[in-house]
Amino acid sequence: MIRLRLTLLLIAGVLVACTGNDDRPTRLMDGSAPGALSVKLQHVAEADVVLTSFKVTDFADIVPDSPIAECYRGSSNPLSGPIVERVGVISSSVTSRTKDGRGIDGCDDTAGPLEEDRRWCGGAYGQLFEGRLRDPRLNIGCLTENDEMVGFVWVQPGERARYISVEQPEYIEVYEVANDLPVRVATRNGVEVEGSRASFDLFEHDQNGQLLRRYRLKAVVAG
Amino acid sequence: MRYARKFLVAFVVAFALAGAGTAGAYHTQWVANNCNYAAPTPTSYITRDGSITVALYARHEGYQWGGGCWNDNDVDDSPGDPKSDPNTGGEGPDCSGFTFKVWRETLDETSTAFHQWWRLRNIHGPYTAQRFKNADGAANYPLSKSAAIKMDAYASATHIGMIYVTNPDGTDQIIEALGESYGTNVWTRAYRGNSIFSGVRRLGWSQS
Repeated sequence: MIRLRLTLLLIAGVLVACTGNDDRPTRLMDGSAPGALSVKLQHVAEADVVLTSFKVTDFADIVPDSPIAECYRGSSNPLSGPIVERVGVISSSVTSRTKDGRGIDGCDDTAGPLEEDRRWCGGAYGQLFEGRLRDPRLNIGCLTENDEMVGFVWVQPGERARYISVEQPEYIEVYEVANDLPVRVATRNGVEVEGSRASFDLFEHDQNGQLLRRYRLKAVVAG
Repeated sequence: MRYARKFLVAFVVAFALAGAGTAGAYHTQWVANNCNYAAPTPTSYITRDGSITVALYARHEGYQWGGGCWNDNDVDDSPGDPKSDPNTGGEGPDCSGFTFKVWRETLDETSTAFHQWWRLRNIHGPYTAQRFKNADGAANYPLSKSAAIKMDAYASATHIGMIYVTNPDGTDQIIEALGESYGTNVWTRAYRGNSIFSGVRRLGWSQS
């Protein structure tokens, strides 16, 4: 009997140890599988991590009528540099620096409803002051398929930051810093319609996965 | 006598520090001390002339990044707030919050209904200048600048101002929340002829 109890306890222990995060998404918004992180992020459970994807497109390689082209069509802020496209679990975005170097321009999207025949559900422009954003340029104009409000902001990474992570209700969404641009991140957690504001619980890690800082970014719609 | 002098110096220093501390706190408490979060009043219609009246209440009332609350005493009660900081809690709107409130929009972006937000009701709304420029939201639609009339707006990626009076020379008198250094007022502008600005109109105006 004792042996049976010990066996049962051992089996239970193995099951607990092997159980990951059943609520962690297995697909990004574009249907692709999240990649594998090459480092372990300090103070972040590996079972909770979902790595977003990104791609860098040169301005000269923009395909006419593509989503990127649609984002920047009619923009009064000419571009010339690389454009970072990101895909997360519930969101996608494009971000670029304007040709005059004075601003960051981009578009946001979710799988939710779009106005009219638009390709993107929203976007933002942010002025740079000495090369940095003073305001994260919150956009709360997008919805998930289930009509949950989604907030987007630009996170200005610290000097050594290589990974920006956002704490979501069931997982940790990880973004890699690219091309020295602010990182466009999204959340459906902590968006307040009444105050036109949102809060983001963030981690910053260096290239080795060392935690640099953990903080809450509070943003309001402004400007 | 020596101790008395030291006490006097200490008293003067303490008095000065107390004054400085109070001045700093003053800038961050105006919204907290004066503004409310009352429910808006639904209204069945708005007119352009009526909206001009609403807009003029904000004149001289200051500017606050991300802001949307002001009284009507023709004084910026929190001047000199740090720029681009929504946490200073000072009096006044920013440009997009000003437009949202004057245009009596709702927080529901799918709605074209009218909500009266009273002056001391702190509200900014979900739109930035960029989003007004894109005519986001059911209540906003793009407009040819040549067709713009009073209380229509011109919007760029970073700023929006509403027409107060159109001028025959191609400029307009624009009522706008311009910035911390300028406040909210009426200025003559050439936004109509500036390609970075697009026209945008609030849906549903009634005749004055």
